[in-house]
Parts: sequence; C-alpha cells; structure tokens
Amino acid sequence: MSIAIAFQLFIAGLSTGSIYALVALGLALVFKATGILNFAHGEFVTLGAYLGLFASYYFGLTYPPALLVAVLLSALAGLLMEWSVVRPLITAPPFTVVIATLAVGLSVKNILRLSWQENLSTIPGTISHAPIAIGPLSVNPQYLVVIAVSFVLLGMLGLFFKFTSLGIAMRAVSEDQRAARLVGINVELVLMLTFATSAGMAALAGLLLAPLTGVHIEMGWIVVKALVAAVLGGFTSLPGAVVGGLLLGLAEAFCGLFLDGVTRDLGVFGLLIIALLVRPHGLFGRSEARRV
Amino acid sequence: MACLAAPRRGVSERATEQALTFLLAATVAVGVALPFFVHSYLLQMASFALVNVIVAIGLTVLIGQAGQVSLASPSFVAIGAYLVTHLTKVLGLSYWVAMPLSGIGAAAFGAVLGFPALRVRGFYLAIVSLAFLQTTSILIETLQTYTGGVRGISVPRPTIFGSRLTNFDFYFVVLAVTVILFAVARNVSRSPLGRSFRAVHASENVAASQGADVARVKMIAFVFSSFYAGIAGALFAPLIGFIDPLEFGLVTAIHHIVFIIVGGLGSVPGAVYGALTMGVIGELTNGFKEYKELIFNLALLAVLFVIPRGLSGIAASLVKFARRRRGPSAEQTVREV
Amino acid sequence: MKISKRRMLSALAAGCVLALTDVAIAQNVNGVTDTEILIGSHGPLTGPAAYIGLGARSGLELAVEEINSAGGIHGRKLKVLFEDDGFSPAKALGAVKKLVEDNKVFMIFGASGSNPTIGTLDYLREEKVPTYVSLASAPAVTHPFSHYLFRGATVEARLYGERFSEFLVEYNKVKRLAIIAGTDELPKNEADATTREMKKNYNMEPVIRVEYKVGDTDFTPQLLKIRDANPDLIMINGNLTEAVIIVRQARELGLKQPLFGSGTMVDNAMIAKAGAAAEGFMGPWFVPHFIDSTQPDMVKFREAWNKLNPNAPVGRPNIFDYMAYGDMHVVAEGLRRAGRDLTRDKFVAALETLDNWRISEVAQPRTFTDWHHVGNLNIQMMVVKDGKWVPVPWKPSRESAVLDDFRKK
Repeated sequence: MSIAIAFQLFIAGLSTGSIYALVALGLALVFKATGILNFAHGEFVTLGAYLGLFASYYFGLTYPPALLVAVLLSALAGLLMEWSVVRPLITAPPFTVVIATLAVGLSVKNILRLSWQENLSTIPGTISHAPIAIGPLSVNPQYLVVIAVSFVLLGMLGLFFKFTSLGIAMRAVSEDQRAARLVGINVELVLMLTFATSAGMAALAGLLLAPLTGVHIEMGWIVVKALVAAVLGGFTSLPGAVVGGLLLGLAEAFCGLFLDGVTRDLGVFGLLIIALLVRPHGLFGRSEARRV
Repeated sequence: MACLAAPRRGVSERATEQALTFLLAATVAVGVALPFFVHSYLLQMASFALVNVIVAIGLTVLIGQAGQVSLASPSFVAIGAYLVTHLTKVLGLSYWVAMPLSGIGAAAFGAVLGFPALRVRGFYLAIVSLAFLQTTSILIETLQTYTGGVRGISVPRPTIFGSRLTNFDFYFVVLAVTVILFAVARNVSRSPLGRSFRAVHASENVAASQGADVARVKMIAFVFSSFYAGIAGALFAPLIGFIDPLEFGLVTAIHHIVFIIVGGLGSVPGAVYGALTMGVIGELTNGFKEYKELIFNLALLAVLFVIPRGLSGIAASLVKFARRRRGPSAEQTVREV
Repeated sequence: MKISKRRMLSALAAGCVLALTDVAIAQNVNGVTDTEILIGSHGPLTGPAAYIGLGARSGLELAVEEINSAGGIHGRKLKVLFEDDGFSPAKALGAVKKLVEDNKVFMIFGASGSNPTIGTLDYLREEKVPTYVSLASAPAVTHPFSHYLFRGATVEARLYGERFSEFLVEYNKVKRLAIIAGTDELPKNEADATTREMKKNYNMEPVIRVEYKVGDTDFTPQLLKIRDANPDLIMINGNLTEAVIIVRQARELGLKQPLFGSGTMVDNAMIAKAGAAAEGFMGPWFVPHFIDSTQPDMVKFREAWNKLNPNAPVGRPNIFDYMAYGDMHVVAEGLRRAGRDLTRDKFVAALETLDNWRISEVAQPRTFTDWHHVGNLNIQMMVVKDGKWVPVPWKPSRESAVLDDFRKK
C-alpha cells in the first residue's frame, strides 16, 4: 500500500467518521444528561434534512437560512417529543422509554415517506464541492466543514457543561434527578432543553450530510453507526463519542481496502468486539462503581 | 442462600395466580378451537403469531429475567430456519428429527454469544449482540450454496406418514410446541435456576457471594433463549415456505423486543400475550395499506403509554391494589421490612 | 303413505334444478362474476421500496379507471385488491396466498421487486394461477416456461447482460471494464449477467470487480482499487443513493472514465446531485420516453394521472406508474380477447396472441407466444447530455439469446 493511498484512506476514514462523530455526540449528550437512549435520534437527522428541503422547495429559502430554520424546527420537535412522550413515561422501565422513542422516530419517518416521494432530493445551493487537491490526494471540503463543526461543538459543549449554570444543571440532573430538584433546579426544563439541543444537533448533522449524500428517507440508519461509535467511545463520555466516531470511520476505510463488500463489515465488527473485550466500558467510559 | 430461596406467596398473589392460570387455560382452549372457525390465511397468521410467542418467551427469560441485553434473537431464529431447511431438503432427514436438532444447533451458537457476555454488560453487550446479528446476516448472504444467499430459499412443508401437512395440521404442531415450551419456561422461571437468573440480573456480586456461578448462569440463559429462537425458526421456515435474510435483521430484532416489553419484561405469560397482542394489532392495521406502519407505530406508542410496565405490570398493579384494600398480612409485613 | 305423482314430479323437477344449479356453480371461475373481474396484486407499499409499490398501484389504478369508464371488459368492471408485501418474500407469499385462497382472485398482477416475487412463484406455478409480473426481472418468472406466468415491462437479467455488454463493447468500444456492484440481488444479477455475456460474445473479462454495501456513504477503498486497475469505463450496479456518491467521489479521486449504471440511476436526481460529474452518465430505461418527455402520449398520461391523483407528493408519477399502467392495459387486452365466457385458460391463451401490442407510446410493445412469455425485449439507453437525460441513438443488432431456452423445446 503506497503512502498516497494510505493517506487518502485516512482522509476518507476521518471524513465519514466525522459524520458518525457528530451524530454520536447528540446521542451521547441525551444519554449523559437523561439516562435515556433516544432511538428517535436517527430520524431527527432525516427530519432536519427534510425540513431544510421543504424550506427551500416550498418557501424558496436558500441553504443558509433553510439550515437555520430546519435546526430550530427540529429542536422544537425534540422539545415536543420530550414533553409529550418522554416525560409522561419517566417512571416507566428504561426499555419502555427506549422503544417509545423508537416508535416516535419511526412515525416521523413514515410521515416523511408518504409526503415526499422522490428517491433522492437535493437542497439547492448547497456548498460547492469542488475537491481540494493536496498533491496526489483529494479532500472534499464539505467533510472539513463537518470535522470542524464536530470539534467546535464538542469544545462548546465542554465549556457549556463546565462553566454555564444550565450546563452544570444538566450534569446535576444526569447524576441524580431527585437531588437536583432538591437544590432548586427546574428538572423538567433541563430535560426539555437537553432533548431540544440534541435534536438540533441531529438536524445539523443531517443538513451537513445532505450536500454529500443527498436527502433521502433512509438517512436515519446512520444512528446505528453512531450508536456503535458512542459505545466504542464509552457511552458516558462526549469526547469518547467523537473519538469513537472517527475510529469507526477509519476502521471502515482501512478494512475496506483489504476486504470487499460484506466481508468488510466482518472485519470492522471483529475490531469492535476486540476493543470491547479489552475495554468493556468503551475507550473512555468509566466503570460505574457498583453499589452492592 | 436466603435470597435465592422461594418467596412465600400472599393471599392476593395466589388469587392473581389462579386468575392467570384460568386465563392461560382459556387461551389454549381458544387456540385449539380456532382452526375450525377461521380462514386458511388467518390460520397461517395465527401460527406465525405462535412462532413469535416462542421467541418472546426465550427472550424475556434472557433479557427480562437474566438481564442480558441481546439484539441477536433473529440470528438464532435464522440459524434454526436455515438448519432445518438444509437438514430436510438437502440431507433428507425427517422434519421431526431435524426440528429439535435445529433448536440444539441454534443453542450451540447461543453459547458463542454467551462468551462476550461474560465480560461485557448493558449497552456494550447490546452492541456486541448487534455485531453478532449483522455477522449472521453477512454469513447468510455469503454462504449462498447453503442458504440461497440474498435470493432466499424455498422450504417444503413437512410430511407425516407420507402426506404433506396443511395449514390446518401444521397449526396444531406449532400450538403443541408452544404450549410445551411455555410450560417448561414457566417451570424454569420458578425453579432455583430461574431465581439465580434474577439474582444475577439484580446484582452479580451478591449472587456470586451467595454461591451462584455467575458465568454458568449467564451462559445457560443464552443457550436457553437461543434454543427457543432456534425452534421458532425451525417452525417458521416450513410455515411460511420461503426464507431470506431480510426476515432476520435489526427490524425483526426490534419487533421481538417490543413483544417482551408489551408483555412485561421477565414475565413468561407476559411474553405470550405481548407477542399475541402485537400480532393482532399487526393484522388489524393491515387494512391501512401504506399507512399501516404509521398507525402501527402510533398504536404501539399508545400501548406503551397505557401500560408502561407491560401486560404483566397490570397483574402486579392488581396485586398491589388488592393488597392495599385488604391491608398487609403478617408475612407481608415481615417480608417488606 | 302414498306419495302423489304430482309431488314426485315436483320433487324430481326440484332435484334437477338443484343438480343443474350445482353444476352451474361448480363452473364459476374464481374472481369472475357477471359484473366484475377480481384481480389480486401485491407490491411494497411500506418500507424502503415503497416507491415501487405506490407507483405501480397508482399506475394500474389509472388504467383500471380508464377501462371501467369505457364500459369495462365485455360488461364486467375490473377490481383490483392490492396487498402490501413490504418487499419481503415471506410477506409476498402470504399476500398471494390470501388473495388466491381467501379472496379468490382471478389472476395475480405482480407489482413487486425480484426478491419478493421469487417467493411467490413456486406456489403460483403449482396452483396454476395466471400471473402477470410487471416489474421483477428475476429469470425465475419465465424460466422454466409455464403457460400461466407472464413477464411484462421489465426485461430479465440475462437480457441486461446481453444489451449492456453489447452497448459497452460495440458502442462505447470498451476493452477494460471495471465493475462496482452492490451486494444485493438485482445489482449482483446485473453484474453477473453482463460479465457472462461479455465473456461469451466478446471473450472479454472485466479488469476488476469490487462490491459495496447498501447504506455505505464512502467508496474510497473501492474507487482506489479501480483507479489502480486503469479501466476505460466504469459500470455501477445498484441503487441511486449510493450511485450519486460513487459518481462524485470517482471524479474527486481523479477518475475520468465514462460511467454506466443501472436503471435506478437514470433519474433527474442524479443530475441534480452529481451535477457536472454526471455529464455523460449512461444507463438503461424501460419505457420509450423519459419521465419528463413532452411526447403527446406522455403528456396525456400525466394529465390523466394528475386528475386522478390531485395533491400527489413530489416525485410522482415515477417510472413504476408508467410501467404498471402499460401492463394493466395489456392484461385488459388479454381479458378482452378471451371473450365474455372467461376462464383462466382462455385468458392465458388470449394473452399469447398479443404481438407487438401496446396501449400507447407510454409503454414498450408486448409480444407473447405459446412458447415464451417474455413480453418485452427492448431497452432504451439514455445518456446525460447538457444536464438532461436524452435517448442514445443506438439499437442493438445482436439477436437476443434469451428466447433460445424456449426454442429448444
């Protein structure tokens, strides 16, 4: 394998990995703050992309305002979901809530599938993707945008959790809801805002993905990869989600060179299982102290 | 071994117990009478629902009782289905021999999944099981000569004394197997093994300190549930007559999980009624054609709202309600303190 | 007790009437009444392939509406029961069994993809139910020959192979072909068939073949391998979603070769998404004119379709609307030729008299004989020129060997 090919694969791996990272980040955020695995997350990615599509098709918005509108509307949708579905089920066993979020996500997908029946759609005016050439290598600038956004978001979330009162409140709620309530934190508000933020992040991921893959109903399947990435990184760690995503992308790219078609996935799974056997709580996860 | 000992049962619990036994008996009676009243197609759907019941029973023991999260149930159904197809179609074995063999084959693979489970827990185990699920799919597609690959493979109906089983006949086969497997699972749940499942679920350290071999218990749980799934697969294949990898993916895994959540995690009777309920809802919503998925998902959401703890949760709530009305008994007070 | 003669005669008469009525009832054909012909159909209305079933259903409904408002067939109206099969062979088989055994339909109109259709064929062959498959390309539909199974708009995998290889070698002068194919049924069939026919007719083999998984969003490893193999044309087999990314990434990695793809990729979205990179992209198309063609029959179809389906979502009518529409008219023609005294055998025999028949230029012509039921052997190649799909001015000159299998008998 020549150096040029290795580098090109490296770039490809980081590129797809950055998308996984961005989606995984939103997933880990909700889990960290609420303890709930939000299976509607993938469909929020799809929803965000479609809202951008509708905004441009029916209202003539160009890409930047369409993106903004879509992210805000998705955040609203996330908030709505928390208020109408997650909150009432707060006392239910965790599996029930997870399946409930899944049902919500699938319902969103079903509605989208029936209301827009193009196989593949394009949001007009998306960033031109003439590739940047660096010697024999080529990089699609959109991926650079995605990587940059992922790291910026990660940094912002880090600062947010450490220094803002809302961020600290979220951490408190994620550790112990009852105690948080006792010190006067409005737990309901925090939960709603967490879901809203996560949904907004998912929408952003979908809209950043749209110029690369187009808008289509099955975009949400990326959540499976994001889940793997988040778990690989250690589910309670936000940086872990990002690192997990990037590593997953790299594993896919390099396994893809040696293994073809479906066997490539076998290679990726093999690596994943080895990683989890070596570090059963993911790369950055902390093993919870188990109270006996 | 105090906490692994059988719990004493209070009066209200015994009453609910009797009600449940009556319900189960009534269900079996309806099951036996059904073929005389419905169309061939509905009978096939009923058989399919029973196959799902078998999967659900095994899965609720694994996830609900032993606490081992697994998304790989369709893999074992697949192994059972493809094994029975190969054994009967290619090797010419009698179905009645091939069917239990396929269950055992699936169980053996269940042990394979059990190994990582010894080290990994919770979400991480779920991801490992997901990897197992996808790997099985890949293997089905690549081992084309045995499985027919993505194209699928047709499965003949078994014969008995030379004549092919009809929908009518095969339904009774499926019903009989379901009832037997249900009884076994119920007994296991109440046996010391069942209690050790729940002990391991509650706290591995405590269970270990009480003398349970945690690794062995987990392994048994995997083998048990994959045996059930394998038998279900061995029934599914000739029932539908055609199998392909699409039937055994993540979407199916989620359906299985929904069965046991609607039924109530860990409850064997719950698994029965959870699977049957979702089957009925599925049939009822068919008329909505392209809206079926949406209506089905909304119906599922409604079910989860109304009974977040599942159908067995209703039973538990009834017990609580009855207890509150009756007031605590002496043994109750002692136990709860 | 003495029974009067009159009573005995009445009883005898009643017995005769009863016997005759029984005979009359026994001769009733499934799905045919005095006023109606019941047709069963199945296709994916839910799931990722829903666009196929939803399209086909509307297309055939438009045809049925046109036929019924013109008076029906010999005084009988057509009624279609459409079942969802979710693109699953098991569900398709269940749907077909329900339609045949419970609803007692006269025939089955197959509006599903290859995989689900294959699941139903053994049963339909055994039960001798007239089955007209509009959209599936799997060879099992017409091989081995059965008087009861017909294939309509879609051509079969072997013909893909023949036409693709001829188009690539003779028209495009390809000597070094690279193939990148998806791992599911249809792309595999296409790639296999093309490879086989290239070897057979031109003694050529692809220089490389790589695979990808549906749902992937990055094809760098595969494209790097292709780049290494230095082909003079790249064939992409699979779905539109992955294809647009492959096209973009191929150009990004410096691959300048012409591209040829599956029918799924002949879509305006390819141009919209891949932009300049799609210029020169070639692919097969199964009706004579492209979706947005201004040819009069196509315009008439769209007007009628929009009238029947106001408020249709963006993206409709799609290719499957057209294909199923053309095929339902073919079925109606067969029913018409079978006459008022309709039976299943008369219907299939009537279909076999169709020779280059079509309702309008919306469809390719259909020909059935009593020794083959491969209705359509025509593929139109399309190319992206100046940002639009236009027909390639090329017609195959090799005779197809698809019918040879049947000729031998």
